[in-house]
Amino acid sequence: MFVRAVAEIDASFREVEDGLLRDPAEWVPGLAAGADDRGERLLAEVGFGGTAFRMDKRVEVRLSEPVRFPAKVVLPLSWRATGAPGLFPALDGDLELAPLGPARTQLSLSANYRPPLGKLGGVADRALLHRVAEGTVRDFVDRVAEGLLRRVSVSSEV
Amino acid sequence: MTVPVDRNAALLEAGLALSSELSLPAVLQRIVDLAAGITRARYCALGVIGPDGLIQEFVPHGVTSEQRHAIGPPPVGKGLLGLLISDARPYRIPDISKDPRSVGFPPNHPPMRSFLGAPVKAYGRVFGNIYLTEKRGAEEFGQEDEDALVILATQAGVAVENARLYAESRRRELRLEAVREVSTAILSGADAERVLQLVVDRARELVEGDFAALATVSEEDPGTFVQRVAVGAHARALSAVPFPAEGSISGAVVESGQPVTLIDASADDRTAQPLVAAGLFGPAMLVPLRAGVDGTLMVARELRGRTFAEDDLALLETFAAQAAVALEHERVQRDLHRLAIVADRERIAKDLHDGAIQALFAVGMGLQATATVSGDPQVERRVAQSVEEIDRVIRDLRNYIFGLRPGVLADRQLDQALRRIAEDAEESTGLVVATDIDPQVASLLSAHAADVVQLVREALSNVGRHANASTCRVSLRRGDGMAVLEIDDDGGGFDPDEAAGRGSGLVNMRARAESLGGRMAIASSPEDGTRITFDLPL
Repeated sequence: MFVRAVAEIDASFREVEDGLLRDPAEWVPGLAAGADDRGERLLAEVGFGGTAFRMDKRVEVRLSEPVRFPAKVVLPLSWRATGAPGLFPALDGDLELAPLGPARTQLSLSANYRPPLGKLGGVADRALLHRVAEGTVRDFVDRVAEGLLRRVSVSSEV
Repeated sequence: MTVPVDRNAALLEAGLALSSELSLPAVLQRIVDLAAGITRARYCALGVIGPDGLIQEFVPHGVTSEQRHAIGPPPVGKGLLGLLISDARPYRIPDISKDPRSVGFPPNHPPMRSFLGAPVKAYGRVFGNIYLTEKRGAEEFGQEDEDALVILATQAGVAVENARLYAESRRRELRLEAVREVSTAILSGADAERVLQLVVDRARELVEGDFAALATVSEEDPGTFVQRVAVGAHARALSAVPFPAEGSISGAVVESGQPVTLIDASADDRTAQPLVAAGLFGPAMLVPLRAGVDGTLMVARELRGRTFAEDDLALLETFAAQAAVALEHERVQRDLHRLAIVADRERIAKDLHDGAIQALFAVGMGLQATATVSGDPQVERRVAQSVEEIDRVIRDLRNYIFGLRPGVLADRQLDQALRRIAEDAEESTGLVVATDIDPQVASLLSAHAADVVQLVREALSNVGRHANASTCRVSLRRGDGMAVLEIDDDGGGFDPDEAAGRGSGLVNMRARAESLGGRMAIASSPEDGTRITFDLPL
């Protein structure tokens, strides 16, 4: 199943790209710990909801080598739930940065996700799980955008 | 010095001959003829010595060709003739037979009594000798004869030296031309084999060898040399033989980085070298290739051939350096070609990402939306299946683009991946999928894990879509030294021949198995379901 979320960051493409490609620990939301010593796999919390009600799930995030295109950079990303998946899907996608102007950058995550609960999950998805996936991806992209903007701001102050 | 007028004219003519004749033999013959005429000698001869000090060229006057044939080989420079070279001054002898320094005459030689000889020299170097015998009308040669002969001998010396300088100049020109020819071939992008052939050909020609070859260390077996090119005598027999580095001259040359010159290759004890083992060659030179290329260039002459000179070795080293450049150039070209392929793959990958994946993603999103609004459970289910198919295609494309292994393998061993595929199949098809995977066999197949995953995935997809089965089994075991991968089900079976004509799935699986050096077999019946067996080499 497919899901896509987009956010805009008020910073130049070069600055945001620099942050995205440097150290994932600075922008992966809800980072718990490195799952391996190379930093390619990270344990993080993904979820959705506000401060009053929020559902989170610990997942293992895996990042691959970035691919540069003339007007964008793509960072392949996947996550799998650790332990019982609950309502949270396994996901493979591309985190993508593209310039929208000299001081604005678009961040998007286009992903294929695998509903949990097997065959039942596939049926239930249409009613509930797709919303969970959309909410989770939306939340993830927003928090990555915040993390990247925060990093750009800190760099500017330095 | 007093020389008669007619003698002056003759000497002048000799001088003119030097400037008008380009051919050294013609000049020398003219000088010999003039010397005999001026001094009224019945016989005259001029000998030019070679690098070994012995007479190499012999120009006679007064002896017929029949007499020369009867006498046999020309003199090499012993006795009085040798004296003219070792003690380079004129000698006048009234009676040769009475002179103790004479070694006598060979059979059939015409009788000779009076003798006048002088060294042929110029610029302080002795090039040979000229001598007169049998003065007509007198018992012996006089001072005037000697004076005239010394002048002629000097002119002959100048002629010989000029000819040598010309030959040397021509030889250098040919060598430079050959070096330029090889350089041009390299720079024009000629393939290495052609350049090496050129190098070996020219090396043999210019150092006047009978055999030449270039051997390099084998890429497959670094302990062995292979002869890339061989030309000249016995080349065919010698080029077909790879030979070990140990116990060969090429091995020693590569190891030391120093050239080896042999007077008699047939007597060398390093018989691993085909050149030596053949027992057909005498003088030989082997030089190392340079620029990080392990190999040797060699030239040899047949048994009892002339030994090679120092400048021959220097020339061979120049050619060896060029051969090394050609081989290095070839290696760089190979690397560039590989890089070009990588760049091309990168470009294709990017095109796929920007084109195919984006388009498929949009189609997938659109289909999902359609399913949501259709309100028809059957449509919804079918659309969901299509979405899953698109999902799978996108995953495969992404795996290719980002150089990942198939997604299921990303963080798993093959046995785990196969179990995961089975679980996925259960989830997506409702089948009960059992697995029986031998982890050791899976481990041995790890180099082909991506292909094995695709085979199983395709087979299970077929079961899910066409077999109408309730259970399925994936097994991987060892059998007859092969890995045996089986996917069997309890479905309704099918006619493999008919199915092969319907779609490319079975054809692709068979092709994939064969690309791994294996084979695919299908057994199917309505009673027993279907079993697809892949025998894959370990």
